[in-house]
Amino acid sequence: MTNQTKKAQEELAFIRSIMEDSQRSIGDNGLGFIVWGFLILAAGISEFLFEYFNLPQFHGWTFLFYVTIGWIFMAVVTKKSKHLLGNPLTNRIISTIWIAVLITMTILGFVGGASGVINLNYMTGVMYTVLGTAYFLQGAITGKTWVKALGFAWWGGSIALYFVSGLPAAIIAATMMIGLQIIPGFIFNRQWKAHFEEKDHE
Amino acid sequence: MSDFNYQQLDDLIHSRIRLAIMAALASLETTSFKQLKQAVGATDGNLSIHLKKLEDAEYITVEKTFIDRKPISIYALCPKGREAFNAYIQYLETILPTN
Repeated sequence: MTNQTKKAQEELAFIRSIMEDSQRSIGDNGLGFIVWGFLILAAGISEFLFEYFNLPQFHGWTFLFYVTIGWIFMAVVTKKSKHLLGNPLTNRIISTIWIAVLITMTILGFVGGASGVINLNYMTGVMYTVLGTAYFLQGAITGKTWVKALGFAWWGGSIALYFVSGLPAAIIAATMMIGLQIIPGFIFNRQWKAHFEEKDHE
Repeated sequence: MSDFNYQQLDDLIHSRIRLAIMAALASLETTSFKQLKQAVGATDGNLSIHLKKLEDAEYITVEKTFIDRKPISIYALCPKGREAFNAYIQYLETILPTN
C-alpha cells in the first residue's frame, strides 16, 4: 500500500466517522412527550375521579376527549415543525415509529376496549408494553442507552400492571407516566434548547 | 498509484476542520453552530473562521432565525458545496485499489 493510498483511506474513514456520528442525532424538542404525558395523566386522574364519585356515564369519554386533543396537537405541531436539527432520515424514522405507536395505542384503546377483547382493568398494561417498544427503538437508533433503558422500564412496569388493578395500578401508572415520559420529555427539551445557546461567535 | 496528486484535491475542503464540517453537513442537512461544534470538535473561534471560508466560497449557507426568541444561525450545505464534497470523495475513491 502506497503512502498516498493510505492517506486516502484515512481521509475516507474520517469522513465516514463524522457522517455516522451525525446520523444518530435527532432534532426532537420533547414537546410531544410532555404534552402526551400530561394528557394521559389527566385522563387517568379524570377516570379515577369519575369512578370515585360514581359517575359511570363519563367513563371512556375522558380518554376519547384527551386523545383527540393529543392528535390535534400532533397535527398542528407536525405541520408547523421545521426540523432544524438532526439527521433528516433519523428524524423521519423516529417520528414514523411514534406515529405508528400512537395509532396502535389508539386502536387498542378504543377498538380493543369497546369490543371487549381487552379487559379495561388491564388496558394500561397493554398500552405501556407498546410504549416500551417505541422507547427501546428510539434509544437503539439514536445510540442513547438511557432512552433504551426507559424502554425496559416501561416493559417492566407494564408486566406489574397485568397483575394489579384499581388504586395500586393507578398509582403505578401515574408514577411511570411522570418518571418515564414527562421527565424524559423535559430532558429532551433541555437538550434541544442547548443547541441554541450560542455564544456571540460571529 | 503514481498518478495521485494532492493538488487535484479541492483546497477548500482539504483541511481537517472544513472536511469535518462538510461531512457533518452532508449528513445533517441543516444544523446549529453548537451541534456543528460538537460534531467537528473545534473551538468557537476556529469553527467560525472555517465556516466563513466555506460560506464565502458558497459551499454552505447560513440562515439567521429565532427559536424561543433567541437568535440562532442555521447552517446548510449548498448545491455547489454538495457537488464539491461528492467530487472530493469520488477522487479519494479513485486512489484506492479497486478490489
